[in-house]
Amino acid sequence: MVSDIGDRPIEVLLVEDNPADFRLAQDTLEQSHQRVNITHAEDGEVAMAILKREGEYANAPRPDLMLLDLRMPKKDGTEVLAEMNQDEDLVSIPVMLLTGTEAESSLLESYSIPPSRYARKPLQLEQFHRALGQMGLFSRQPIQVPTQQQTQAASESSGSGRRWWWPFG
Amino acid sequence: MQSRENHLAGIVRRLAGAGRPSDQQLKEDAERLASRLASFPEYNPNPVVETDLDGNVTYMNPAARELAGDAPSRPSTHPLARDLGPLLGRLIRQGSGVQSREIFVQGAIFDQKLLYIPEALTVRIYSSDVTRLKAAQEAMRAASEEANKLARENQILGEIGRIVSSSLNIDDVYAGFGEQLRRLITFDRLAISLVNLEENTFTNAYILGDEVPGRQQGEVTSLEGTVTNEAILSRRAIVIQGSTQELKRRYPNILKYPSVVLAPLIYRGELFGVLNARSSEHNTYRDEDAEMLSRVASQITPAIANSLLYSDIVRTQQDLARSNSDLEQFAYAASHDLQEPLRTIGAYIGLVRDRYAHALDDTAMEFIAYAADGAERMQALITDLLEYSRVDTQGSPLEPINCTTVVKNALENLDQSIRQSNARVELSPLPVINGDRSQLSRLFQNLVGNALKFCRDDKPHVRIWAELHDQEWIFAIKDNGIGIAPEHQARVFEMFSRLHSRAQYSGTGIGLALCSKIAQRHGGRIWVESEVGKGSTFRFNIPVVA
Repeated sequence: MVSDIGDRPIEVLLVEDNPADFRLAQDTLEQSHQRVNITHAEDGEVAMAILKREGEYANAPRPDLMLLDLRMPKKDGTEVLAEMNQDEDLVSIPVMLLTGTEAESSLLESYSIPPSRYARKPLQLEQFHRALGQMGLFSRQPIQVPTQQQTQAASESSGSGRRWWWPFG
Repeated sequence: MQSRENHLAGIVRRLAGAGRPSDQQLKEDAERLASRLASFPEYNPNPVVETDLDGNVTYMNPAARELAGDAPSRPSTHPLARDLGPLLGRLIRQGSGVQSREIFVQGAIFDQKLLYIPEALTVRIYSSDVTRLKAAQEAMRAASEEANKLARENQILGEIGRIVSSSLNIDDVYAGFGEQLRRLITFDRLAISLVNLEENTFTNAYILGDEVPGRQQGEVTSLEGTVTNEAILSRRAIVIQGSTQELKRRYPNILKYPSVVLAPLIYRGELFGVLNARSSEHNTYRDEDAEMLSRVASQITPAIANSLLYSDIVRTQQDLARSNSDLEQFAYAASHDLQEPLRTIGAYIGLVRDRYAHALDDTAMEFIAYAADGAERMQALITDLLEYSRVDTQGSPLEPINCTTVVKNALENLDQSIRQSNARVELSPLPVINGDRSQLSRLFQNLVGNALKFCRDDKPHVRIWAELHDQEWIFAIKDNGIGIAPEHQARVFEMFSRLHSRAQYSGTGIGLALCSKIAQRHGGRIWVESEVGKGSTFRFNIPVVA
């Protein structure tokens, strides 16, 4: 378990653009009987602002766990992940990816992301508990998912010309 | 002369009966006599005329007299002795010998030999009528010339035919024949115009020779006031030539050439173009050029029609491929985007059902159950649709697959249904084929699953086997189920087609469409033989591994 939390509530940054999905995840977290403090970011840009404590988020707490939706407008989950991995301070924040469809999950699987690091929505209670239990482990193993731009560049350079398989756009 | 007459007397004596000469002897003697007599002008059947050294006629034999007609019995001139001047001079200078000439007299041609007899100061002129011989020679020469010309034309036409048939590429077809055509017809500009009769226009698909602004390759031109239109209307090869003003008056949009020959291109009764050759010279073309162009047109017509058809097919194929890929993309994206809201619906319905059951009456719970069922079915549909749309695009490469293993695997997945329905499944050993393991597994699983699902009340019996026919394996899945009426047999493979109400048999209506698509991807097709109440046999063929 994570030792430095002590008595304070677990800080969870929930990055989710869909209000229905946010509400479901929030409901699951509330059902967990843990003391959880949820910060909601409605897209990747807001998430980054919160993580970097920019502007109005100057006093935002550092999340103990980040639940990150893959598919979002403006800046999607893969981009947030890529930026966090570039940032020495943020790379250690445990992230669990949230996927909307089976296809997204298969894609993550194909990128060798361990199954414990992503959950198919709606987030189930046991998945959340497992994530909480593995937080310390997560923080030492940052995950990497190619962003849309990277995969597009790769597919263009390989000349496959198939633009549609990317399921997050 | 003396000795000749003695000899003749001898012959006559012999003929008179001295000894009994053989028939052969007689015949030879008769021939010799005839030849001797011929050297006497008087007995020569051909006209013989003698003149003095000034060319005045001194003698004519009976044939010559006859030819001279009403001439006096001893005239000093004869038609056969006219214009002798230069020849006489030459003969007399030589002192002996023979001169020859041809002379045209009274509609006949005579071949003449002029013989100078110095001792008599006479020139004897032997003439023979060669009119018919000459005519025959001329006819023969003309015939052979015509035959040579035809042979050459045929060879060129054959060459054109060979060139244009050797490629389906329209440009090759055009390029191949234009230069060959130059050997048959002179022209300054040659064009193949493809016509669009609905829009009353034509487009020059090929041009050899002069380029004319406004009538270049690919430019669309109105047929109105053109000679091309005239060829279309007449539907046969025509020559149009005359003074520029006259042509301009009849065909306001004619090009500047005073001579044009045109032949319509007609394929299976349908006029699709006009082949035309133009010359800057006046009166260049004759009817036989039109005939020739017409032959060329019929030679190149099938090839052009074929290559036009071919490019149509290629274009259609490209369109089809594009639209297919668009459709797949659409199906994939749609399936994907449909899933998220559906999941939300399902999740919230689940929350209401689980948490508020105590606050809801039975009717509310019934409604919620229907809503949940609808969401689940939609989820199943989308999953199937997604799988369907991925058969061609996301399949694994085909590799040798042991079908027995695949079917065993599929039966394991169906284990629960098999046990529930108490079914008997008989599996004969199956071959190794070139395939996509997971797709084949889905194919067998769907077919066996259907066999279990559409069973009658008694216990299902499913048999699976394969037979080798020619170069393909035919797989069969036979059941003893409810069967399919003949009128429905083709429809079962269509997307979303269902023969039964959902209450009777569950399913999305995509299962068999998916099977059909998987069979197609493996180079085969699927079909069913069935009798209502007796069961169905689904079969699909897959080529034998090479």
